[in-house]
Amino acid sequence: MRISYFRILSLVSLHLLIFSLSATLASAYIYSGYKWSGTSASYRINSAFAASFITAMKSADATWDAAGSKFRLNYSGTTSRNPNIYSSSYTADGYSDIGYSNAGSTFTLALTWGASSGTIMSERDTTFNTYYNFTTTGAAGKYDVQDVMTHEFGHWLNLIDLSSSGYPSFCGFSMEDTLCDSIGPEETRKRSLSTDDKNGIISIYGT
Amino acid sequence: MKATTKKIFLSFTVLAALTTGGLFGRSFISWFIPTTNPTNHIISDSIDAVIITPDIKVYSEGSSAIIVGTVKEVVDHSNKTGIPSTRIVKDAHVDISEVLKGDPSMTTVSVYLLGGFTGSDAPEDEVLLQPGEKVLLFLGKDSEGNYVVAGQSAGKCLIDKDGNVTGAPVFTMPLALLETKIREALASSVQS
Repeated sequence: MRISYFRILSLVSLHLLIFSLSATLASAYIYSGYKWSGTSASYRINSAFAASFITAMKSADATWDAAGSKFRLNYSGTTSRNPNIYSSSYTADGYSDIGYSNAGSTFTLALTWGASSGTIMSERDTTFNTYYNFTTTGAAGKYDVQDVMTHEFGHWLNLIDLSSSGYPSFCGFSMEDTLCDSIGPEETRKRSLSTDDKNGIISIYGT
Repeated sequence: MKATTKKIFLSFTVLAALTTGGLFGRSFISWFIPTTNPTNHIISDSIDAVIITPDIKVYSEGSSAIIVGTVKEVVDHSNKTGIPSTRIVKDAHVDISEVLKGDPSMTTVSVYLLGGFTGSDAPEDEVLLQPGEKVLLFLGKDSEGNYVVAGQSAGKCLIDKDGNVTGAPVFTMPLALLETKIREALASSVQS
């Protein structure tokens, strides 16, 4: 059987193209390189949040706990601590907390920050930007608390954003993955984890 | 080679490519996709943000200012009095060539940059402004009245020498077209 060089080149090129496409589709999560030392992390929520907001955040926690990995986020109650990552004076205090701040028209709904020793994570905090309006009931024009916090807990677990705005993007037009970095009003799709999200946490912490 | 044989050969090739890509793609992807590894940097203030979905209308209406200009310098305020050693705070000074929204008399603006790495680098969510860059910036204001790039890096549009903008996919187009769309969005928001 004689095969021309052109055919061989065509087959190889086709193979590489298909390989690249399928590889892209096969892996849509990005690991930050950090991880918690154990298989759990405890956190508290600022007591000023409404009870419905706290419930929504705990639901976000439960979603990741059920993702199939060994890791568990443990809600330890409310706190008066209020981490404000938007502030230039913010610093780690040894506690992982969820707080809030009216941070202005920054177009960011929440920020998450982490403290580490080398690649071992020791603390994570999240600050909600209350300049924007949040909801737990799907109210028009407002941003869903559980949607936002499920995304932010993804960062707590050391997954990086899948960017819709510049960084190599694996969000695509559907923006299905929870770690896609942007959220629209009334959106709730990020409440549930995609296969990519689950694969990410399982790859970091095992099953 | 007979046509039937060719078809069978091609089908198996496609199947093999899909299978190997799906099984082993993750290992190869990591060669090309940089993961943040702040341990290589002196100071890291890596912030993860969830932003409002980039949209011309939403960002135009919600921004405090929209300008076109050139980044003149970036001043690093990190390690100064009152700023913890773990925080990175910079100001980017931008010479303005055009104001699409905001005070039309502005000729320069100072943009507050929070987070990142020391030096000229930025993790995935923070905006990086570098001297010499020609940019269109959607600017919000933080609680202290500082101008910040809206949506972290999403609100930064880089303009090349041919007048084409690259940034969030919804903003990527010729500058003149983006400016037109911004003006239309602003005009429609005034009327409504």
